[in-house]
Amino acid sequence: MGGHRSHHCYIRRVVCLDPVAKGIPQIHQRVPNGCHFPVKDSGDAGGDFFVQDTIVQLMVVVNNAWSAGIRGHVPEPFTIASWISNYVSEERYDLILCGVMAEDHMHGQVGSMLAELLDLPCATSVISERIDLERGIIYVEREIEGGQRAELEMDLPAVLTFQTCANEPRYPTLSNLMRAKKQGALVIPLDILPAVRDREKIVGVDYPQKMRSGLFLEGNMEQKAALLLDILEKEALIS
Amino acid sequence: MKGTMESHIVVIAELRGNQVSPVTYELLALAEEIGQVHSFPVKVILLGADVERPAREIADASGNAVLAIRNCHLQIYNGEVYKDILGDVLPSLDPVFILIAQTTQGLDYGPGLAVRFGSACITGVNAFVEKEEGFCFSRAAFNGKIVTHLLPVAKTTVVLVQPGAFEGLAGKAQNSGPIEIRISNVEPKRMRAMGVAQSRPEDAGLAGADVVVAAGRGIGEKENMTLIQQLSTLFPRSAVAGSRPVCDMGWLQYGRPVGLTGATVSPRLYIACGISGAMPHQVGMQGSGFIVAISTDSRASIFNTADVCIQEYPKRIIPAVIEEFEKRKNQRREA
Repeated sequence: MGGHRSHHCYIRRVVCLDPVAKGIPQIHQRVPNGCHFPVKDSGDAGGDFFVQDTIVQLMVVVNNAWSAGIRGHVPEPFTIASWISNYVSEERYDLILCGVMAEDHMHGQVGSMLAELLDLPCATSVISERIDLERGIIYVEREIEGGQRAELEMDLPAVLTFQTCANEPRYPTLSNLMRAKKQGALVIPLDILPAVRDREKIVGVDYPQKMRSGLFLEGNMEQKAALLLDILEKEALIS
Repeated sequence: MKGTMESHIVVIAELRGNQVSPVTYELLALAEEIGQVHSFPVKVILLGADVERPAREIADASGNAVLAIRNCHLQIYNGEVYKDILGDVLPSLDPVFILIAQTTQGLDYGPGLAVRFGSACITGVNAFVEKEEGFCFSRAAFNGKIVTHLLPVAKTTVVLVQPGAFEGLAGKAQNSGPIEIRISNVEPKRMRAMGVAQSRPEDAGLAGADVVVAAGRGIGEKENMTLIQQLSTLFPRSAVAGSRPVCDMGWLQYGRPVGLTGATVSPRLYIACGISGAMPHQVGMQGSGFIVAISTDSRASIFNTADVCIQEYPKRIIPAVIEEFEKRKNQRREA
């Protein structure tokens, strides 16, 4: 598995979180040292193996949000991927985990860009995974159109982007929270990260246009219910 | 942007089960639109294990030149093989725009391809508009509540286009486009496609329903799914569906989310209850004949795609609708 085959019972995994609006322009890295946890899904390795997690969270400044025009530093996905790549490439992780798409900007780009920058295989929209440590392989299922699932076998190290609720969320225990507090966080100042030239820029922000008539029903609850049924009857959609 | 004669607008066609996916014709429509502003020729690239027939179909319909690349490892989509083949082929076309469908496949290889070419990458594109700064691509953000206009500032731009955003080319071109077929020997190195698991049987009922009543997080709690079920019983041939968060929370059986990675439905009537209408959901239901949206949020983007909008709590308006329906039914009986 990459350069880590000698560590049979450990897998190094990094979780990349989405940028958080209204923060400080630094990358936070939190290493919960000693917080190795057993993973039930041990694949073909036999018995539990252990995971050393690192969490990379990128925080960015957004000035006055979109309503005043986005004037602050809202890095584009390529910039985010480049910054994370700059840190992760030094650490030789076995698995790099990202979300499939942030709910705010909905770009869905960072994971696959990161994989390309690191020259690693990448599977997006993953809903399940199983690791075979002996062979240095991960089996994944990607969710694709029509509720179908594409099955892949990938060499480690690899980048995966996960669909929501692919796994049960693992919340930290109070004792681990306390331990993490003591560990502190490694802060990487933005100015030591490589400058990344923009490849696209936002030149305007609007409200979306209506695609259909969008008739708003007026009145009290009963009147709205009656109006709706009138319309559905007129359109021959209910009888 | 470079403007030499060799530059192209490149459309990457998408196949589904060896059929040309309809979104391919939507990409071609956008390519035509861009071509009216930037006069570059359009080249369609088609990758697959069996490419002759789909290549002919695209060349006949669009009149554009088609480069079809046959690779025996593409019986099933493989992102690594895709990127390697396109990485070999695209430089000779000097692409200015590379148009890709924003499907799970397009999103899998598109952004990586952009990195390989040092390109701009704009996802979720639903319009091509003129602004003071130049021609831009528009995309929705923040659950569809705002639209941002992005100007590419790189030589090449990878554009991922939201399915359904552009009206696809229809009919046949006056003259069929030339077809070139190449054999590719690119092999998968670090990832191997093992197969595709089929949909679960419950999806079939959803696809064939005349009326779909869909629940979103805005219904409040799992218990309110009963109201959604009751509303659906007012209609013959109806089915209950949900947004992805509702399925994720276990309020509805998994396999029924409507959206990009779930079901695509086009019933005569779609009733969205407590659904915000983010882009991934809209992709799955925008082809519905008539859309009724119920939400407390007056700025919910679902209202922009609805025929009728009701700004109410679903758990309050649905019982009122059911009661009114029963009242009318009884009146008809008595008459």
